[in-house]
Amino acid sequence: MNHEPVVVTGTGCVSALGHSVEAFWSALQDGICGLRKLDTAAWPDLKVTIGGAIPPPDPREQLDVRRLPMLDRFSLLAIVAAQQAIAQSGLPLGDGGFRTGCFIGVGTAGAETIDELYRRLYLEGAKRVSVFTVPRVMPSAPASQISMMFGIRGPVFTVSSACASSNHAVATAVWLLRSGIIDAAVVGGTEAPLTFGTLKAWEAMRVLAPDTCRPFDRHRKGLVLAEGAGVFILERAEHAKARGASVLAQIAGVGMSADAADLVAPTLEGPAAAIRSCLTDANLCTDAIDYINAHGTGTAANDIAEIKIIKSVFGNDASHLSISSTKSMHGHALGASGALELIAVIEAIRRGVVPPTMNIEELDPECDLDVTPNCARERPIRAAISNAFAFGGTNAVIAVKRFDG
Amino acid sequence: MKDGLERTLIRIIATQAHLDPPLVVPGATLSDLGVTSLDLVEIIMTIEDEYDVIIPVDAVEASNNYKTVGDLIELGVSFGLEGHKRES
Repeated sequence: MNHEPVVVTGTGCVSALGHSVEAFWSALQDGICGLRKLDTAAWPDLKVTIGGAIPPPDPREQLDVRRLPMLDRFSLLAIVAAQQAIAQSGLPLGDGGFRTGCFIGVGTAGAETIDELYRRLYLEGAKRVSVFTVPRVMPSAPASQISMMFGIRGPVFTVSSACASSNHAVATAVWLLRSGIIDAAVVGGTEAPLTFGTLKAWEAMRVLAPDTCRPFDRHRKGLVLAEGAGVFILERAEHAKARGASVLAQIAGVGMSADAADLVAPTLEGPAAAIRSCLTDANLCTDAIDYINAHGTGTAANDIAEIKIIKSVFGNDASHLSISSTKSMHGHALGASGALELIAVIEAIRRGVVPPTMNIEELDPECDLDVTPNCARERPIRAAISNAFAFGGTNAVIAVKRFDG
Repeated sequence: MKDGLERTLIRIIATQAHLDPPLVVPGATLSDLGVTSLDLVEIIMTIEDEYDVIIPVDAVEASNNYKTVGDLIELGVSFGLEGHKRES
């Protein structure tokens, strides 16, 4: 299909791997795992005590102290990432902003605030709670807060599809940009799930690894929850060109589908349909893709299915692919995962380096494609895709390629 | 007695808005002090807690009706908070 190109002119992130895109990429390239023991002293009876927490200093320190009471941590992280992306792109805002949108992917909203609310009400018997409770927990809070802080006055809303939220947000932005409704978008995902209540809820699903995240390894034990946010500035290529912006990469295409089957077990057909739809939208053949950033959660169910899905779509071209799961380093940041992984893809293309899948000791023989175990690999990357296959069967795939101008 | 009420309200407003109390004078407008509509509700709820009274105003009504520090002091006066139990 022929569409006006959509380009990336800014990226920003905060994650277990640090406070900037530079820190994030440097850790990915060097194979540094950001998954560590959490401070769970105040949380009794947690079976899993590792996670991808943002290292010090606390990102709160980057914002005006007067803004903090209005912000749950998931909004705070989104603002910090958005600040970086907007600064890098030089996107002019504040003087109107009606042709710019903001779409933020969110898996779970306001976890920190809800934990605190229930603790005060049910445990401490508080008679009243903070007036900021509702505006902090509303799922649209991160998008609204970014809009208010930077003067974005076009369409502003949250996109939510569990662990595919970021990719669906990017797809939403791409279609609105192609349609001509907006010229630019601040888009990404955010999640702050490292609270007692959220960890207990995930513990109940028995998909959390007790040691670390080792995707595609024979002895993988599950996923590791993480916090973080990733934000992009996407623009119509003409708009970016007219204002002389530097282009980092092109969003070549997007593909979406749903399994309409099991709540948590992925089908093979649903994700495969999303990848095919993405390649068609991007006008790319399977032999044009050099790298896949896998959904790669490190759960028994996901990894084998994902390898089968890739083989079914790519056929003989699958053996030429580099694949990796960067969740082995930044963890599974749920609604923010797709955004963090899209940053990994953009940087991989720009630098010609495939980030590794870390923590692999013994490859699962059923994961018999090149999953880039334990060491980054230099290779020119013409185009790449980033997979997100979520609970609830929602799938979204993004294709990125070098921008030729 | 009104001075005691004034001192207490200035302390509450200064704490909520992260300001030095000397900046919070009766003539100052709340928006200039950076007090948002929801800050104002939190301020009124703190007044309710400290004086053990009920002041039935909602978020929109509050920001429409109370524009200055002096307006909040008058609100306190209208609820008979002068000389009311604890004063700072």
